[in-house]
Amino acid sequence: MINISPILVIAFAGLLHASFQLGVALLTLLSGHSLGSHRSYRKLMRLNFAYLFGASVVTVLLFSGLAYFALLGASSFMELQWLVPALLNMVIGASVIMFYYRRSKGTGLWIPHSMAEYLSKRTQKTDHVGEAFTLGAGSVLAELPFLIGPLSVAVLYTLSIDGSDMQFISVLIYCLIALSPLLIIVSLVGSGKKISKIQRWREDNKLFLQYAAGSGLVILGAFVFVDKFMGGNI
Amino acid sequence: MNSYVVKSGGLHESEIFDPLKLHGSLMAACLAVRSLEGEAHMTAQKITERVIDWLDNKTEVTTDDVRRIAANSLQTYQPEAAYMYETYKDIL
Repeated sequence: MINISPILVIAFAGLLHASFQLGVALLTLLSGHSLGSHRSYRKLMRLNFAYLFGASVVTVLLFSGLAYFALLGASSFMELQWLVPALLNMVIGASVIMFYYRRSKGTGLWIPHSMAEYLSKRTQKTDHVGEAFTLGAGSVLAELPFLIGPLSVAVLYTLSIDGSDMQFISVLIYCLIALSPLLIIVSLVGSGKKISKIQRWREDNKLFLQYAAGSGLVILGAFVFVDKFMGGNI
Repeated sequence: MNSYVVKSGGLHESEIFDPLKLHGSLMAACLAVRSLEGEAHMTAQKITERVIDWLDNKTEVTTDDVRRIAANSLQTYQPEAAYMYETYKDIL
């Protein structure tokens, strides 16, 4: 019989990963610049897919890399391995609630102004698929201080599943859910939806996303603490 | 008309107002919301003329002033483009 519980936790961690907005913001900017500079539909979609591919590759690599390091220390730090992500998620959750978005108009994020300006200019100059790929990859790495929480939980739960087939399916589920906002935006832009509508939706729902992600991370951390560190004895 | 535009934050030197630069950014905002090229060009042209009129008898303005006046005018013609033009710097 398949134990469904770890898969649900991994899916939930993927959902929390998906709620982070740096990748979405950069993709919105990239699409806006591509349309604004009157690039062809083909070029727009090539850039967007390259960006999505870059983000996907780095997400899978981070997952695998973290899994490798978790396996290295599996025997010696068994309890610590669960305690660290549990606490990490609670701290990150509180941070998301406190300062993930800037307290101003728009969807400005936690990143420093100089970095936001640099990324904005870099996005504007992106004209080649290689650059778009790097931008997508960079967006995942830049968000790592937040992503590390749900990612570490997903990795550890994946390793706790028996059978490489199920582990592979877990990685697939996590990555698909985590990357779904980018997939949705690429599809919306490709189907002719206005960037302004997407940006308006992001702005209207930013508080919901912030509090949902923040409290979700705290809940995930608490769940891991009870389920694994305390051995489910509550 | 030779109005000087002071960059926001005052960190860069002021420069002479460039209508083509404004036209370009307005057109980009219109195209970003999928306006047709001709329509975007016409709208950008009208707004640039309005801003030029507004600049008359002003010697020094800030980039924020220019953006605000341009965004207000753009609101009349293409509200979606005006939204993108206004919030462009607040996406990240």
